[in-house]
Amino acid sequence: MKKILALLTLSLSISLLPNLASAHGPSPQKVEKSVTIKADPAKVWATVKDFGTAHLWLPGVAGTKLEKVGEDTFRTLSFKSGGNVYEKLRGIDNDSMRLKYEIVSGTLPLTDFNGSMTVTKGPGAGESTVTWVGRFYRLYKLNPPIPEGQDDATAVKAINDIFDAGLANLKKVSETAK
Amino acid sequence: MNTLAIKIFDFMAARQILFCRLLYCTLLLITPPSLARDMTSYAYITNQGEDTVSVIDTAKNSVSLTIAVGKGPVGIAVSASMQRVYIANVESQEISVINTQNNSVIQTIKINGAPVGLALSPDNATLYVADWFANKVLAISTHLPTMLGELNVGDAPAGLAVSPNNKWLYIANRDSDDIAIVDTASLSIKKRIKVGAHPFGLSLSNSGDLLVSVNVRDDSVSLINTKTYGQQTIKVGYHPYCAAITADEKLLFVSNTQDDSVSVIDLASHKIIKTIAVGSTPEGISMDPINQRAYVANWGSNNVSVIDVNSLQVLATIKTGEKSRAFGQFILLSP
Repeated sequence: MKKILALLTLSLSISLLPNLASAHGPSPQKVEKSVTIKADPAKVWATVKDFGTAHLWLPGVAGTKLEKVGEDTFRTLSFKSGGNVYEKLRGIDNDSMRLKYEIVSGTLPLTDFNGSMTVTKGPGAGESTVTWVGRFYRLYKLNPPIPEGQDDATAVKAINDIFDAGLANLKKVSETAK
Repeated sequence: MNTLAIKIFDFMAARQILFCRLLYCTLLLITPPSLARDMTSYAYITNQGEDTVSVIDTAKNSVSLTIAVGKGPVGIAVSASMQRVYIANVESQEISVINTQNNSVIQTIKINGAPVGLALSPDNATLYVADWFANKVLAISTHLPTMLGELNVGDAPAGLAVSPNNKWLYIANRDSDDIAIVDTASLSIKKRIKVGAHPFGLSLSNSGDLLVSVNVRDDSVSLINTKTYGQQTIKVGYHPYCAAITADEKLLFVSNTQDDSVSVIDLASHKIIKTIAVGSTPEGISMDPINQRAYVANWGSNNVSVIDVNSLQVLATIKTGEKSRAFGQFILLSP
């Protein structure tokens, strides 16, 4: 948790740097994490697909503000440490139990994030597996040398930390809730 | 020359290329079309996440070899007549040159920039390299190699294609939302064509009459008539990346990165006739004219989907390497 808070503070300071170019980095980064939850898939999916209540299970998030703009749905996650992330819902597929979203703007040290969360049945009876996948680019948008804090490793760590803490707590919340 | 340093200066390679080219031309002349099925083809797949290239033998649809290259390989260009494959390693800022006779890296060309897209001229004399950050395209002689020239283009140049008559180089400028048409003789921009937002991949038909730009942010493809520059826009899936046109120029295949699918468009009616589920986050796509298949590199699932262009069914899924991209025309025909 402290790690996430420190990271969010760092990302806030990075976001104050001028945006020098519009092209994103040349190599997309990938983080894929899974957790097994001893809870019914339908119940876990109900939590995951509720786009406006992420603060109930995602650590470090103080509140979620849901907005409708025309037919599109957006949310703003406000971090307890300061900073925020503005996300667009790309789709909810109840058949495959998959939610897709993207980051529009925010204070995380990365750009062009597209992600999905998928709930599958199993491996055991009454169990669920949640897989969280993100594709994104580092913050630095020019040729090397790449400044510290704007490189691939920083971007990957930011997402690793959020996914790890998020899935661990989603498991806890799902397994303890009635 | 200041942007190009040559690590290995291989005169023997140049002589060998010349010999191979003569041999290849001779083979083409004496080989009747009915024997085309005796040719084989290989798919060269760049794996960004493990700095390798997977070589797929299309006869077996399996990886026959994995070649270590530079860091973050993305773009690719192949030459059957020279028996060479060029790989753009964007993170280590260099081009790996592979001799396809023994699939070994024989040269490394240092680039003072971020090489992403690659294309060869039809005569194989010139390799064009798109520099993603410096907004330039470099022209490199494949013979020695030496720098022939460079030109400033639009913002974030990505996909490249050269017309069959070798007169025009087409460049997709992702962040200026246009295609630059470059006179290859003078290496100067003749015209710019506005397309949809963020064009990334480019595909040119065998005749050179149809140019397709894949517009990532617009979720569309622009079909450009290269004679009149008239264009038509067709909506495809979410965040499309690359496209490939069948040899008979009847169908267009488009990879939709965020939909995990390939859209198949009938080029006569301009309608999507099928959306095919493939692996996760499909990027590069190329046609294999010998087996009449489309090969699709799936960045998210680290594999390649093989689609029969007649039945529009997925024939096989081949495990490759971490983060397969294969940006460019990556099928090598081999006599």
